[in-house]
Amino acid sequence: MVVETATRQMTYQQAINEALRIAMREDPTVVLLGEDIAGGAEVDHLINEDAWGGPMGVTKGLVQEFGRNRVLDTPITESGFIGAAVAAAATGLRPVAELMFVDFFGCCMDQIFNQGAKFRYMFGGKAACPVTIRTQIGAGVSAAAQHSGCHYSVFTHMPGIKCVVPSTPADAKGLLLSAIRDDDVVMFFENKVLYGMKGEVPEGDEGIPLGKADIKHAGDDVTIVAISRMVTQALKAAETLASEGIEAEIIDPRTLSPLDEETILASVAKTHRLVIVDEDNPRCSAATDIAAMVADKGFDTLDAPIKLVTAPHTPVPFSPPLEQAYVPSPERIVEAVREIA
Amino acid sequence: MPTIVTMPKWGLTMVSGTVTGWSHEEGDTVTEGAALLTVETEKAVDDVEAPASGILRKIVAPTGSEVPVTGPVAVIVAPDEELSDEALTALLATSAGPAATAGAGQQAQRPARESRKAARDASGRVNASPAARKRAGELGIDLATIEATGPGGRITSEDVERAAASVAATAAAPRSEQVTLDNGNTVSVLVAGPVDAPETIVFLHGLGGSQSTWANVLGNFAETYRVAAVDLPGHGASDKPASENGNYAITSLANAVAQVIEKLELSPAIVVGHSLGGAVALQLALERPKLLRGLVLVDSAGLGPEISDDLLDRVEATPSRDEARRLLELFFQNPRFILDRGIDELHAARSAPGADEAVKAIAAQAFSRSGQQVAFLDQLNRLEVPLLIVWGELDRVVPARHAMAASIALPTAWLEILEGVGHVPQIEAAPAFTAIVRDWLESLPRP
Repeated sequence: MVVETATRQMTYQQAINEALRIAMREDPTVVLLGEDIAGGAEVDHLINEDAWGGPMGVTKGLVQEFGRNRVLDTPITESGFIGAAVAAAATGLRPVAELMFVDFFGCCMDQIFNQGAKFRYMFGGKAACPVTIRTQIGAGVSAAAQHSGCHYSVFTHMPGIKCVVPSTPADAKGLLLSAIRDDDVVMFFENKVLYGMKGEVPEGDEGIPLGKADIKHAGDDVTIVAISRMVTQALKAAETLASEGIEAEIIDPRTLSPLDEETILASVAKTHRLVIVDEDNPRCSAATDIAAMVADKGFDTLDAPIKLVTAPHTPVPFSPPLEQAYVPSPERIVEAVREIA
Repeated sequence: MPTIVTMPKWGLTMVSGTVTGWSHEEGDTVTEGAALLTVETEKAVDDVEAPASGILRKIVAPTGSEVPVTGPVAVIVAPDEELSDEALTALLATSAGPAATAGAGQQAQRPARESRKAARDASGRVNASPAARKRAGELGIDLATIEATGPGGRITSEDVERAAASVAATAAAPRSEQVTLDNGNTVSVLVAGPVDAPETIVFLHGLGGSQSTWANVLGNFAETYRVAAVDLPGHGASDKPASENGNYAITSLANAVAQVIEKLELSPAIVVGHSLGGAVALQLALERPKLLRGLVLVDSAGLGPEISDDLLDRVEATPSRDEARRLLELFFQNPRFILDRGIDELHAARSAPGADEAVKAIAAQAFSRSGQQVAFLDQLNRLEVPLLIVWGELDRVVPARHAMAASIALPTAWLEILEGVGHVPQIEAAPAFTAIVRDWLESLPRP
């Protein structure tokens, strides 16, 4: 049965805000922690000041509705508040922590990877850790090497962590709702360049299942798996390719852990060609992981080598021209497709 | 929805047909299945039935016009359906074939890549993609024979499919095979149809006939099935040895067919035998059951004592055009099928060196004035394959009661009697004949 759901235009940032609000309304154990996510200081006369809503304004307005007991401004200490979120999750709350930039994960990796991700395993399945860690990724705003990485590949490598990489406002809302409702550690990677992106977003509180890829554009000639903001780049490339008579099928995995292998393999079985577009660094990455999976399980369906279009094996440069060259462009995607199609 | 009536494709080689008459005029009410027009081809003349009930809105091909197969000849509309002249013209334009409409409003087409010899590495290994390698293995195609279109001279799975389609098309195209028998004589066989067809059908004609007796039905069958129409020894384009050494005994003819089936790798085949060919088919099915998957007997010899004296008179007479005409008059119930061309063809066949001797020798083996010498009725229960019996109700050569007797002797047989039809249903009632055989084939259990 297809249920028509009403939609309206909103930005990626507003869609995330809406998902947080819905989750907090439906479940009183959902609490938010992070730097400047409420705004103002912890002083009585500023209680209703909402200056920030986080550095990008994503949590704007939530403190007014839910109060400072559920929207917690924390000290600038990732080790502290991420640890607090993981521990709160283990003891009955359903926290959503904001790690301002993923590049800071080094400060709190023990809490995420050696504690949260292993609780269920260490306690024989009796413990859960329903924490969601929202974090910004992506180059493109001249934020320099320490605030511009993607690094979701690092978390995809680790068992016990789910990795979500929404590419549209609608996906951001639906996937965040599922992430918060999920009983495992979920890393939710928000691409900072997409915050202003507008799109149709359904009303209501329906989540999008984790582990289900989305075909963003159907085609028969080549499969392009694109992650996060790279979906937008791939869609632009598809327009150019269509004008040359090449119909690209663009698959957005939406979550890297779990990975919807079936959808990718089925598409490659149809097109016999695969290009993977990933803004993360290329070594031991989501792109190489997907390429290896297809080479292993779909070898006999391939008519051409698997092509990777990724960032180089360097930190993100600050220089705007270099930064622009760093991020995979529609032109590079078109070139890669032409090589094999 | 208007229905476009198109020129049917009857024979394997039929490219067009000439409209020789219309039984209805524009504006008449027509009924689905009723004869609408008559079409003549090189080989035959037959009715084309209305594919739908309604009003005959437009006759596109008036009497006398020649129309290529699948080309439009008329348009039928529903009784209350309005179809303007403009809409009619547009409809006919689209029916001219898919090639005429393709290209309009389509998206950019990728220019076809040039195909070239596949690249090889130093060791001589052909550059083929994993998908191409796998598909070539499945289809049993040698990669070395495939042209490459992929970057760097790589064979892609598409290249394999293209090569396979071309091989299949070559194999499916009708061709004449000359099979050399163990005794050195050759037998001519017309082979057509897809190699990977679900069934292979071997057709055997009657006394004095040839492959051409199946001309009206082979084209239809070859769309779905592998078909092989045999010229029995002494007939058509096959060798016509002297009548000594038992060359024309029914067992010898059956043995020749067995060798054809083995040498052309047609086994297990559905064997369809008409008239005397039916007796040959029965002999084969009883002696070499493993070569067959099913048996179809059409107005067959061997299932009862009676045989027309008229036929024996025609066999004994010296060949002439008049004799040929009398034979066709005996065969066909509907005089429409007695064409000058058919008389000429039959006479020419009988006048070929050795042909008359062969006919007389076979007739002497199979028939006598006291009745048929071939008798399989009491052996039908030994058949190991499914049996279909098709008969013309008004057959004056071998009476239709032989079909009844056979169906009583073998109650599992599928029996079809064609009303108002004479000795040669595959010509006189070709559409009904193909429909019956197809229904029966589809009812067979899959091997």
